[in-house]
Amino acid sequence: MPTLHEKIRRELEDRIHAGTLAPGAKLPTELELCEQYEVSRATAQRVLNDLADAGLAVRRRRQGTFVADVRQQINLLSYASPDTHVKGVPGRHEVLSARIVRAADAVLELPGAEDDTAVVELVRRKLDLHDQPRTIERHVVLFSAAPELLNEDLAELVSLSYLRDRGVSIDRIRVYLDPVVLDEHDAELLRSEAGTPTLRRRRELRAPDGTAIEIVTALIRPGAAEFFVEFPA
Amino acid sequence: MKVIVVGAGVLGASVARSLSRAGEDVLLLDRKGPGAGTSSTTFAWTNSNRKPDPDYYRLNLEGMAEHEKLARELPGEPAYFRSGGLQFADTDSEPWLVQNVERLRALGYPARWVTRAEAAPIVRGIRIPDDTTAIAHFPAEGYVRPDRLVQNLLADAVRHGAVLSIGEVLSISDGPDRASVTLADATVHTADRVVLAAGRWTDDLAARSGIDVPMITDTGRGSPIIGLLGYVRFPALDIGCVVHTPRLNLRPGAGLPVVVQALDLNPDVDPSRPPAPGSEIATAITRRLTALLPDPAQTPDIDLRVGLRALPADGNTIAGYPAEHARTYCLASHGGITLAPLLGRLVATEIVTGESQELLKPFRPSRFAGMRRSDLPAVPRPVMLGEQ
Repeated sequence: MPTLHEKIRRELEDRIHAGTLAPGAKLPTELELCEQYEVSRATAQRVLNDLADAGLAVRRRRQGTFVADVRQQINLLSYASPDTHVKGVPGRHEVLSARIVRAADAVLELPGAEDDTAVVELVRRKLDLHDQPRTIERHVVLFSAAPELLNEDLAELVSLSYLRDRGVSIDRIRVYLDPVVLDEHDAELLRSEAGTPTLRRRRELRAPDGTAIEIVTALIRPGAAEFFVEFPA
Repeated sequence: MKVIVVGAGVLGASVARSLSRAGEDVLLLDRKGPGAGTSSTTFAWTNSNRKPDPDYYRLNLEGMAEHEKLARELPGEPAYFRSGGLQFADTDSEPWLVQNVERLRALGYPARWVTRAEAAPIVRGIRIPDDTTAIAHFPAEGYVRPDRLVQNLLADAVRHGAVLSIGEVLSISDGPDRASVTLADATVHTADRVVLAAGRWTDDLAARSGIDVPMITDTGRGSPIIGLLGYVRFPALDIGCVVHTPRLNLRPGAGLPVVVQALDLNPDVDPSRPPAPGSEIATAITRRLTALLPDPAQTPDIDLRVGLRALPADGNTIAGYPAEHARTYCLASHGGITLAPLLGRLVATEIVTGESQELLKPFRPSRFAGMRRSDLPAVPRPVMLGEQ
């Protein structure tokens, strides 16, 4: 059972993440929370302090508490560059599933792979420093190219550097940005709403002979990021 | 039939392959990844060279033949090499080698005496020690590249529809209609049959599931399950077959480092602290290897790893249902590399058809019924040639 202050905090968090409380919006005051939820002043204060500690809210003396602008700023030019995920962004990965399956049964289609080719499939959820979901990452890798991939620490694994370190010959890296609409499953994982549009980054690695070695997608939580390109004026 | 195989080592992968080829719906579960346990740290010599128990001898002999058959039909990079094996004896070990060769010949096991000149092209890149007094050649023996064997078995299993999923199994429970497997993340999978093939963790997992699979699990210094292996990072070292000398055993790497072992040093190995470079044990192994190199001035770099054997309490394979009508099939064995292809086929046949396979009959888990673990005879530590 969550405690009372956790319950209230979660409700506010959900509204912030859903965007109904937009960045900059004013949150209820301590007194308003006391009345609305019939809780003590200390409980109300704890809720707002917790939100501020989590980086979701900014408390301003005598003015009140406001929704922080927590959106990640993503430069599309660097985002489309192959090495983006090598450096990575802060936060941890939660492994949702790790399997070896037929290519035909994998979560993503590995271009050109025969249906019954074995592939490694890894699905992870990237969480930010406040444990909010940021992206869902799906990897499908040719098993013969990385037969021991699952023996790695999958919460830390960066597949591109792993493959390079293993001496897998990679000739070409192509990045796509796909506009997509969240389905129910992904919406739930991202604590968002089904039907919300978002962007999906899709990366393909190919061997010199053209064989696709890996396909990775990163589905971004709607509202979690702003995309931009910038040029010197 | 839905079958869950717990453990994606060489045995689990082989059973999963045979089951999926027979058309069964197979889910293979492993805590870590394919071949991550003992299957990754093994001398990987295919043989039935020193198996005094006649049933166990026959099982290993059939295991060697099954490798020949599997190598012809399994897609993938070559994993099995019928290189033959050579054993060098000095004055001290000669009587022992003579006795073993005579015993094996009486059984029909391919074994012959060779001269130094005959041995040289077989062994290739190492020097035959000067104090060698006898050399035995075992042409039917060979070795395996364990990583490739696991990968090839697994890829073939997946090709036939098997799925490997990473997950830590907490326990298995047999129900009247289904068996269920509970994972650490609280997921529950159900199946018609479960194969428990978790290597050296089988005893513990079986115990948590109310099944007795007695194995030697002591990992303290001096335990017979401790086996130190040296991986020789020295590209110039090219050996043609599995070699046993009085002081060091060597196995070709087939693209990976040559693997060496010195059985007599195992009792001094503390598995929690593998010997560091420069330690007494590391120095001894390096010295023994250097003595075999054509140019003794060279000192190869040896990476030492401690392997922990999967070892049933009486040393022999355990294969079968613990009780009539049980749904959980237990499979644990030492010598998994030699036996995996054969055990995979036999175990899958027993599960699919329900028909008891002759070769497996002496190895049922029921042989331990009513025995206290303290009553089981101690398994001696392997020290002599071929006892590992």
